[in-house]
Amino acid sequence: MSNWIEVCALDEIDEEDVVPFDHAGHTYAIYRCPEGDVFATSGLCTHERIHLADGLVMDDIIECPKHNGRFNYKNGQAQGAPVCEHLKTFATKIENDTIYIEVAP
Amino acid sequence: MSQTMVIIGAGEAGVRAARTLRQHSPDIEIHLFERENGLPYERPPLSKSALLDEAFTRQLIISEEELTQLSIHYHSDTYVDELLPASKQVHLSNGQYLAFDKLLIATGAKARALPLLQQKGLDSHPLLFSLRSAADCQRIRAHALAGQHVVLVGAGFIGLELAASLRSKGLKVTVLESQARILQRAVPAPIAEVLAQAHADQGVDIRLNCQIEDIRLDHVVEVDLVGQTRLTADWLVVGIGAEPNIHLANQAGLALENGIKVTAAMKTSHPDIYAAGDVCNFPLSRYGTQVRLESWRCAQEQAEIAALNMLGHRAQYEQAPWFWSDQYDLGLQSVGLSINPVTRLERRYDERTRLYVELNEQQQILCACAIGPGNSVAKDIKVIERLINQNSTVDITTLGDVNVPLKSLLKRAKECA
Ligand SMILES: Cc1cc2nc3c(=O)[nH]c(=O)nc-3n(C[C@H](O)[C@H](O)[C@H](O)COP(=O)(O)OP(=O)(O)OC[C@H]3O[C@@H](n4cnc5c(N)ncnc54)[C@H](O)[C@@H]3O)c2cc1C
Ligand code: FES
Repeated sequence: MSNWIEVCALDEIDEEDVVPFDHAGHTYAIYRCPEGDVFATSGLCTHERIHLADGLVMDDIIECPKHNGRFNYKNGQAQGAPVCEHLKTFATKIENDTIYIEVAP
Repeated sequence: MSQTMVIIGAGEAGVRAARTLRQHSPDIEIHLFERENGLPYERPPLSKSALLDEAFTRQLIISEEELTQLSIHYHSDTYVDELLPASKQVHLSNGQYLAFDKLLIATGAKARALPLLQQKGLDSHPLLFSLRSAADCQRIRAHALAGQHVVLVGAGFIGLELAASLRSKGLKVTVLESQARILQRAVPAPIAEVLAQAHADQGVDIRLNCQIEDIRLDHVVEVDLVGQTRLTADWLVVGIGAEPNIHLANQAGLALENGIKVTAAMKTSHPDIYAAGDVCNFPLSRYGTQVRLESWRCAQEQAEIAALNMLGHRAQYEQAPWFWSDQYDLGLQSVGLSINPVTRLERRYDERTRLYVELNEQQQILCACAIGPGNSVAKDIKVIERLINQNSTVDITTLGDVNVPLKSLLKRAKECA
């Protein structure tokens, strides 16, 4: 069963940027890549549970604000020390210029 | 026959070097020696969450499983007490010798002692504390009871983080600083001002321009200050910086200069011996200078360079150094070095969120330091770090205008490249 949740309007996230999104006690990070497509991962760094949305997006990479751990936000892959555990990713869709993510029901 | 790589010290630098060596070479033998007991652990939390969080346990840099999986021979509780450069051997506290093909010295630094207390033979008095290791932290934790009064000598990063943590635990904290402001050398005035205000708001008593006349340690701590009334406290912490652990290098006759002198390849004056982390004094060609730093990330980056070169690669350390500190709800980050700045500029988002940037004559950024609640300044510092590492020339008007996102400078630099 799919469970699509409304996040925000598409133009509320700049290209090559990230915003935080909280839902039902979970925190997510919602990204737009330089080409404008939307991606979603869990919102906390796997190193010390820091909010990734304070980090910097460059191309396909989000760099954690705390100790600069890097993840590919398109597939969640941790790119090496200090982060080794991958990020969870979530499906996204855009309807009527609104972003939705699919979370576990 | 496979090569033997020996690493002395399993801190940030030592562990990163071991990992990098294995990543690039499946066949070599790697020995990692550490004088402390237990697995390698992170030091930054020791002045932060370790003191605040009752349930805190050491944050490991590497697990037992990973050490086994990477076949890194980890020897804890083993002190390397002599280095024999001619025969390329190390001598261990258990009496054994081990020969190496390449050696990395990653022995870090130790807390500097207060000469006055040394002269009085009080260096190991039960009321005297310093903070470098997990054991030091454990001692402090055990003494940090609400309502006690602690005097902290030195308003450096570790001292101030400790002050914030102890204050948050309900202790009365007095900080003695000989300079005219906190973090005089490390942080520009507008940034230090935000921290000083936070400490004042929390009720930490920071005494500047302070000269200590005498200290007595008995059942209580008594501190005589020039021109001020005597202080009485329950215990005393000395946080006046750190000294590189150069004992082995000195004995072995390696070139020293405020630490072990290395090239940008992290090589010492001996062709098969390298050094990285807090113990080394390294060149940064971008700044035309040689420095020794105490930075978590530099230690790791340098170790990676050293490891690559130990394997015969040709890598050089060129990154702009980066550092962070957490005090109360404030996060500070800095990048680069303040060497001969020509232009200085502040970007003030609000009273507590500020970025201070220094540039050279060519309008290239030399360094920046920022402070704000949580990790609010991280993005800016990351952008600036990239601008420094790319040697970009920047538009000063944009830099100073809080309404224009800093990232636009990066995009512009990309288009110009
Ligand atoms: C309390 C505290 C808070 C900090 N906070 C921050 C921060 O917020 N941000 C930041 O950027 N940096 C911070 N730092 C600095 C950072 O931790 C250091 O820069 C980093 O640990 C340096 O790594 P290193 O490997 O060079 O040295 P270390 O981590 O000191 O490791 C050296 C190791 O070598 C071992 N050793 C020494 N001699 C021998 C020998 N002869 N034989 C065997 N073993 C030996 C030591 O026991 C030690 O474990 C902090 C440091 C401390 C102490
Ligand atoms: S919290 Fe993200 S890298 Fe440490």
